[in-house]
Parts: sequence; structure tokens; C-alpha cells
Amino acid sequence: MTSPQAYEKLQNVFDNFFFGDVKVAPDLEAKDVEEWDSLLHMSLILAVEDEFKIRFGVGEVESFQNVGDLVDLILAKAK
Amino acid sequence: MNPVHLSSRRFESQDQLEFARISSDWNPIHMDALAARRTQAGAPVVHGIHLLLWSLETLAGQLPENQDVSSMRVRFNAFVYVGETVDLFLGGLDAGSCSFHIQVDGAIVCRAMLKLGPIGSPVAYPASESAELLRPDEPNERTIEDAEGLTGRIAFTCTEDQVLEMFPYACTKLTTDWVRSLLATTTLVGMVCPGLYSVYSGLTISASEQISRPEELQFEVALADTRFKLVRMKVLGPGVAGTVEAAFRMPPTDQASIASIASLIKPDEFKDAVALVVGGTRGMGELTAKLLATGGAKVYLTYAVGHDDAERVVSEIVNSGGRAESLHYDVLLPPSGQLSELTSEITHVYYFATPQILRRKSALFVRSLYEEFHAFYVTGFYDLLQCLIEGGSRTITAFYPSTVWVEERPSGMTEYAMAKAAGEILCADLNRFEPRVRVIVSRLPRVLTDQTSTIMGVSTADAVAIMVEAITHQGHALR
Repeated sequence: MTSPQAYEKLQNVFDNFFFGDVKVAPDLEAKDVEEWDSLLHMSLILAVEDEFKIRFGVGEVESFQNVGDLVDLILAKAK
Repeated sequence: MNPVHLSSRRFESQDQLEFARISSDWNPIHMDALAARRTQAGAPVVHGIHLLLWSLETLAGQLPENQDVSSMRVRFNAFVYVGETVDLFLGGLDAGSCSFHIQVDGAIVCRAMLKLGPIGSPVAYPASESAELLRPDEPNERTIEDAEGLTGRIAFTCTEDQVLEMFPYACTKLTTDWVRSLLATTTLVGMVCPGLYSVYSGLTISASEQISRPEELQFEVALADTRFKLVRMKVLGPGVAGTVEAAFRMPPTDQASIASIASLIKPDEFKDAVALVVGGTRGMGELTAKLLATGGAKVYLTYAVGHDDAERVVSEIVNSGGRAESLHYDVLLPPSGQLSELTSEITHVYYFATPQILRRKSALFVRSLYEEFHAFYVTGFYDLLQCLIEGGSRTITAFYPSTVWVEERPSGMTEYAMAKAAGEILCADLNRFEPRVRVIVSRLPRVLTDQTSTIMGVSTADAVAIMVEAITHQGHALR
């Protein structure tokens, strides 16, 4: 999977997940999205795992700061 | 379109009771102030499904008459406390969809999207008809591990007439079966799975043509994630099918027992002290009261609302051979009359009074929140010391628990850190200008208490080690 493909797929997850219009971008962070709180974050991770058929460790989930980090992690897992 | 304000209301205790009766969700986080105090919410909260049904009741008249609601997606973002004013906003409405949200003090606490259009085909769902039909009257104390693979059936406990009376417009738009199914989902979450320690996160549910009309909601746990303590359940009611998501919250945090800490303190370490532990019924206050009593101090521990918790701590101390009494004391009220029952001169004060610390906020700085923290951490502390001095205490040694968040300043904690910083300045000036008072300030790290526990279980420091250090080695003057 290429990086653009991962972003496109992630956009589908976001579109089905967030109520507002949230555009994925490498520097997008949870604090940039009003509805992206800590409880929602965990649900979002599950949705990402479902979409990409991967599984994160708790440490990995806590490690990424923005969507770019998340996509890097997805690409590493999806290899 | 800009959100349009549709309605406001407050949910009071009587509303909670009526909703619990119709839904059979009697989870104490909604119904019992003392039990709720020991949850992450800190006080009774409104059922999420009650918020949703009130919204639908209000919205029903706005929706196109010739369109059915074919599905809904709902997310509960934050607790709504009993007595708070909630505001319903219509976010968007067209021929195919309707979005709305609920706000409290400007913060969005619930978001929802309705799809309008023809309802779906019948749903084939492999729910086991042999599973027990549940009519829970006590919430189940389930763990996430217990939830794996769970299936069952929740009996409808309310009649069609009852839901028609309480939510007539929602029933007209959605059908009574749909409303009863929504009610059964809160019973599922609050009473069955996760049960007692639950947070209802959200649901996605669709209408489908009727296959049959069993008076029940069938459910099956599709995912029980032990990393995030989240559970996702398929649900099927008469004419509706969907998914419910809920989180397992942490049970109340038990502090160390006297037996387990006895070896850490010399039996006569504090034998000459008469200590007033403000907020001594749980958390750090409870632990401090036990440590002091173990070291021979006479302890008065105060409570504002948790009488039973106070008696529990007193009993544990007394049964271990220590000296302790409980005292009702509210730091927001004038202290003099409240301290009249003290029979010994107070020599030491340990001040753990606090409101709920982790709070929902809509802005970086919320003045009312700062004022509330200030009343607890500054005014309440000063008034207490003044009263004790004026009441005859010759000298007082006080322990003021500040926080590392004064330096670290995590997001969303501005008012809390500011009020604690103000408290530190007060303590410094008391030490400079009030010869009868000596205050020891310690910036404590986050330790595990009812206030600080979270679903994810963030790392916390060892509360016992912190307090032993704070009241012995660090504070020689406390002896």
C-alpha cells in the first residue's frame, strides 16, 4: 500500500466516523478536531484497525502525535 | 447552515427516576449521588438515551412528514450532570438527513445524525433464542474479559402505552418498538454489559422491516477490546438492528488498608498530634488519615457528603487501635459553627478538600470553574486556618497538597493549575507573615484515586510512597 492509498482509505474511515467534515492531513492532530476526545480516540483506532486489518499495541497508540504518525504506523503494519 | 437552537431543558432527579422506571437502567451513576461521587463523573449524570429521546421528541415535528427515519448514528461525548441546562441544536436538515447536537455550557456532549428514507430489509441475526431472557434489577459487575462472546436477550420492561405517554412524538416518528429498543440498549449497557462500571459511548441503528415482534432486545458482543476496555455489541430489536458501543470504566479506587501500611510508620511517630484531615474520606485524604492514625495521632477526618465513607475510614482506624472521629465540614461554608464539635486543640491540618478535578470545558479559561477551584484551594484553606487560630490553636502545622500540574500544565487544566498556584502563594505568605502557622507545600504527582482514574488507566504514582514521604521525611515539622 502506498502512502496516498493509505490517506485515501483513512479519509473513508474519518468520513464514516466523525460527524463534522474532517480532512486527513499529515499534521492533523486530535486537538484540531473538536469532537476528537480521548474516548473517541479509542473508538477511532478500532475503526482504523478494522479498515486496514491491522492491530496496534497500546504503546503504539499512545506514541503518535498526528495523522502523519498514524499513517506511518499503518504503512509499517500493513507491509 | 448555522446550528439552530431548538430547545433547552434541565434533567432533575425526578426525571432520572422516571426514566429509570421506564428503561430499567438503574445504574447508580445516574441514580445515587454517593455512588456517582466515586465514579469518574463525580456526580449523577443523565442517561445518554434520555438525552437522545428528548432530542427526538423535540425534533419529530421538524422532520418531513412523508419520510421515515431509516437509521441513526449517535455519539455521547461527555457526561451531562443532573441539574445542568442542556441545549438542543439542529445542525442540518434536508430530504435525506438530519443532524443535531446537544450542548452544555457551550461544549458539545452528544452528536447525532438521522438518515431519512425507506427502511431496510429484514435483518437476519443469529441471536440465540435459548439465551436467558434478562430482566436485571441490579447492575452486573462484569469485567471486559467476561464480556467476550456474551449473548443474551433483554426483556422490554415498559409497555407501549408507557413510552407513548413519555415520548409521544418520538414514537410517532420512530414507532414504539424502536423507542423501546433504544430504551433496552441503555439497560443493556448500564445493567448487563458492561453493567455497573459502564459508559455508553454511542450507537448506530437502522430500521428494518418487521420479521416478528418479540418483546425483547437481543444482543451479541462482537468485540471486547481489552486494550481500550471497549465493547461493541450487535443489537436486534423488533424492527431495528444495529451496533452499540460502550466503555468499561474503572471501579472506585480503594486506598491501602491500615494493615498494609502499618509497617511504614513508627507507632508513636505522630503521638502528640491532633490532626484535622479535611476531605479524609477517600483518596489521598483517606490514606493520610490512616497513616497519621497508625503513627499515633488523634485524627478528625472531615466529609462534605460522604458520611458512609467517613464512617468506614473511622471504623478501620478504630478497629486497628487508632483514634479517629468524623466531622461534617464544608469548606465553602463559614468554618466556625462547623468546628464547634472539636474537643481537642488542633495541631495539624491536612487539606485535601477538592471538587471534581477533571472537567468538561468549552473554552481555555472558564471563569466559573476557576472561581470554584479558588474557593476550595485558596479561600477555604485560609478561612479554616484563621478559624482554628482564632479558636485557640496556639500553632498549626498544615500540609497543603499542590500539584505538579502547576509546572507541567497539561491541556485543559488551566483553572485547576491557576488555583493551586494561588494556593501556593497563600501558603508562602502565611509562612512569611503569620507566625502561628507553618505550611508545608508539596507538589504531588498524579496518583490513583477516584478522581484521577480513567478508562485507559494512565500511569500514576504510588500514593502510599508519596504520602509517607510527604508527612514524614519531607515534613519533619509535622511530627
